[in-house]
Amino acid sequence: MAEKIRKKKNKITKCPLFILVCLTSVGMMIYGALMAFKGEYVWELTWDHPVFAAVLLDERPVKEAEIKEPVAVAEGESPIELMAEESSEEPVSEEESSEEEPESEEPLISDEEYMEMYGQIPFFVDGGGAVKYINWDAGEPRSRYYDNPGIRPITSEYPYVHVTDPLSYYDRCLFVGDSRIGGLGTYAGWDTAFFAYKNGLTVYGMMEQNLSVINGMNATFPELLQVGPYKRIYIMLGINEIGTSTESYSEEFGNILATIRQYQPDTPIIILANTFVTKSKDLSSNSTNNGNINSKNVSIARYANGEDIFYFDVNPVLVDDEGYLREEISRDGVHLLAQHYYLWVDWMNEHGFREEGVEYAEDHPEWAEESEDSSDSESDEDSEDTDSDTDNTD
Amino acid sequence: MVFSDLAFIFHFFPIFLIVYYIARGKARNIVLLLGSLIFYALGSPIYVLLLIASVLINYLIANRIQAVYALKRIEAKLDSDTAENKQEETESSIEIIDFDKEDETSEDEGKTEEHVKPGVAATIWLITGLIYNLGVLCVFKYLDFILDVTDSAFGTGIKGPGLALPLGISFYTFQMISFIVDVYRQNTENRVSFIHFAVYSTMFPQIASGPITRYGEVIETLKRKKGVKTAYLEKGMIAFILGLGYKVLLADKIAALWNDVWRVGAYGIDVATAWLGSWAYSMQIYFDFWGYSLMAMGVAGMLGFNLPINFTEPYSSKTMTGFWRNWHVTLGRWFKDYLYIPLGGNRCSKIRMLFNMLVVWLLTGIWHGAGYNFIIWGLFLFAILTIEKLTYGKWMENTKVIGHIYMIILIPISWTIFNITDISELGAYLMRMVNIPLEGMVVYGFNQFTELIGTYWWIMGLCILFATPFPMRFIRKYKNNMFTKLILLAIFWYSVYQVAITGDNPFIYFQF
Repeated sequence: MAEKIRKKKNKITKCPLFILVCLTSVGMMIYGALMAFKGEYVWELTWDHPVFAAVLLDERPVKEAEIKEPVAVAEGESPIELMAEESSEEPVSEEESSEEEPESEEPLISDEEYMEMYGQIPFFVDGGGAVKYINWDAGEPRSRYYDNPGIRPITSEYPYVHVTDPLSYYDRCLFVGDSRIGGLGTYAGWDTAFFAYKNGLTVYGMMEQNLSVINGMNATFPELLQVGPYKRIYIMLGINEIGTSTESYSEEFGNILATIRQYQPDTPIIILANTFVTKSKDLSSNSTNNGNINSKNVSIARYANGEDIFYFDVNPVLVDDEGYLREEISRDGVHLLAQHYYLWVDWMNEHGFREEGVEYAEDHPEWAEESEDSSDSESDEDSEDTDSDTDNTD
Repeated sequence: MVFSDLAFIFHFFPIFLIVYYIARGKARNIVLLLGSLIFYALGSPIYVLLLIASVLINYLIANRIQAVYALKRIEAKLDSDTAENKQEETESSIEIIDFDKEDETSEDEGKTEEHVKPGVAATIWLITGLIYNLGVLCVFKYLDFILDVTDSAFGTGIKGPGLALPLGISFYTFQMISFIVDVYRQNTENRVSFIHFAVYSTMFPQIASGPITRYGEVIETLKRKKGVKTAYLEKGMIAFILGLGYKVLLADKIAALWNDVWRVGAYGIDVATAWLGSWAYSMQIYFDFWGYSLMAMGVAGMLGFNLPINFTEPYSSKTMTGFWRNWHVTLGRWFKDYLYIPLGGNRCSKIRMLFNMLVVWLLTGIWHGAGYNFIIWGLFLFAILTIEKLTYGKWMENTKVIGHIYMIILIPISWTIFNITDISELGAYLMRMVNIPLEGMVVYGFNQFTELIGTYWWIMGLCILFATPFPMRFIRKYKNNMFTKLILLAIFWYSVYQVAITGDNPFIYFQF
């Protein structure tokens, strides 16, 4: 007997790492099961999801009180409530709205109409209905983070002008966001603007993380806000939060806007919609899909009031007929290829705000004729490109 | 399901291991066969039928060849022909992080005792086997490409059926070819058991991406004369954790650097960034495939098998010739033993030798994928290896620093050709690497290289460190130290955590 025990002991001492891995794995399984049993973490045991994965992923059960309809984002106190008071005027007249989207033939609905249809206001709307939505079905939910609000926000309506001198127009503007802002900063050629970005940046890390600043010194976002004032602040965040809840994303986004207002009370803020992903990316990912992205966009578009906070959606010039990012302009399904950033840049230049002392083509119809003449002299290929862009934008 | 999936680590493998160890003796082969088929079916439910068909057909062919030999032996005995042929021995498997030296057995019983002349019948069966295996590989891997090429060249209008690539087909086909050739060469037992062959060719630790094992390397374990040594469990676990760490903490992390470069394309990068991207990919593919191979060896080790090693510090090589001696060793020796030497190897005229090398490297390129870039890659390697063989190869091997600098330049070029399947994009990228401006470039003053280095310097540094022989030497030396084991335990759990939060990333070599 003693011999047998000694043999067993010998065997165990010969493979301590194997034993350690086995014991810790069993320990983690038991811990995960116990925590799930106590209700601290969700109980999810599937083939791909060991019971302790809920602990590693911090998957906590949603309490009943927090469960809302798919579109419902936290109502009540908005972090930028103060701003709502400033925005009481009607946004813009219909005839002035130059921004039309391909989907605009579908019925546009306002928040009020939405409330009538669905019996609730989609979110706390600061701008008194400044944001308009179009009906948009994102399909069946494919993951627990997936939402289908049934609507899609469109670019804030405003009498935009075509930017004639981008270097002067974007001078002292601050663009802040994730890798996509990094791409815009690298390839837009707006050397007078600051582009503060970090790959993988989220709304949660926005205030603490050190950002790379193109055309400026690297700094954290609060540091950048202190050195203003900026002419305009453009913000794009949301693709890296795709695996987190839309509700907390939206709240945090609101906090960021409130912080900007604190430091820069008069600077117009432009919320840039998260760009959609390609069909192949959409179909291959449970979290990174257009339904989820749209849900994120819906949840931040509410902050736009059409007065000093605007919502810009560049997607119409980037997507195909089905609403997916065009495969040929993106390699990873999310970011644009360097040579296609011009689509975004051109769209931005078509959505300029009037600046004093600048002449705009909108005020000089005769310029259009001149430019038509000059474009005829350009190569066929170039003019074809321009035509297709215009088509998309329209 | 891949080895770095939580499903494999915490569900499939533990359940399998328990059943495997409850089973005794030869029943373990049945458990391993069933487990392997389930493993394959979980990833590729339909193609498991193709795998089973290939096993049956190859066994049938091997069986026919052996039947021919058996008949010849009887005839020979009847004729009292006592001529004896010297028995060839299969090469002993290469040692895996010194997986028991003492375990090597001298038992040769069961192997062919006397060789007979193959004769026409056996050769016909061998050719049938080769046609079947290469035919299956062609249909599932190359048909689309071949039809596309003929369509674009002759306007046939015939498009490929667009079949999905069966998991591990390139690997298991080569393994089965090696088996029937070994049978034909009489390097196996006179009568191979079906279960032994079925387990050897479907074994889940190596079915997806090798190592391309020889029958002779696993037969001793398959005979189940001894149980699995406890020390194998430990060594297997060490290899598995190292492989998991390489894959999850190095390959998947450095992949982000290459992705940052790749996603903007050649039109948006400066020359330094182009090189940095290529170096990053070189690191990614090394740790991805070496990590996988280590995990495969580890899993097989825990089951009592001693799989051959696939990488022997290739990035420390001073020539491309040396590099390919150390990179994907089991593929290299397959081509050497089953193609290069039968073609005449280097024991022939120089022209013939160059032709043999051209065939081998062209096929090595094509084996990796159906695409023009793989053909170019094969030709590139052939060109470099030929130049090295004919000119500076030996001199370069004896240099101390120049050889390494030479490889720091050549390795990324080689992997770039391998990596970028779109020919025009490949051309554009290579042009950026030699700083030829592209028409319509949109690079502005911003220094991408500094920015990327600022973000990824630490992971690049770790990759460079682990590409040197020092970490492995350290592990070999201190593998029995408890402190090393605790570090490995920490690596295991940190890797598991990373897998949990980032999801699964398939291995690069799964696509071949």
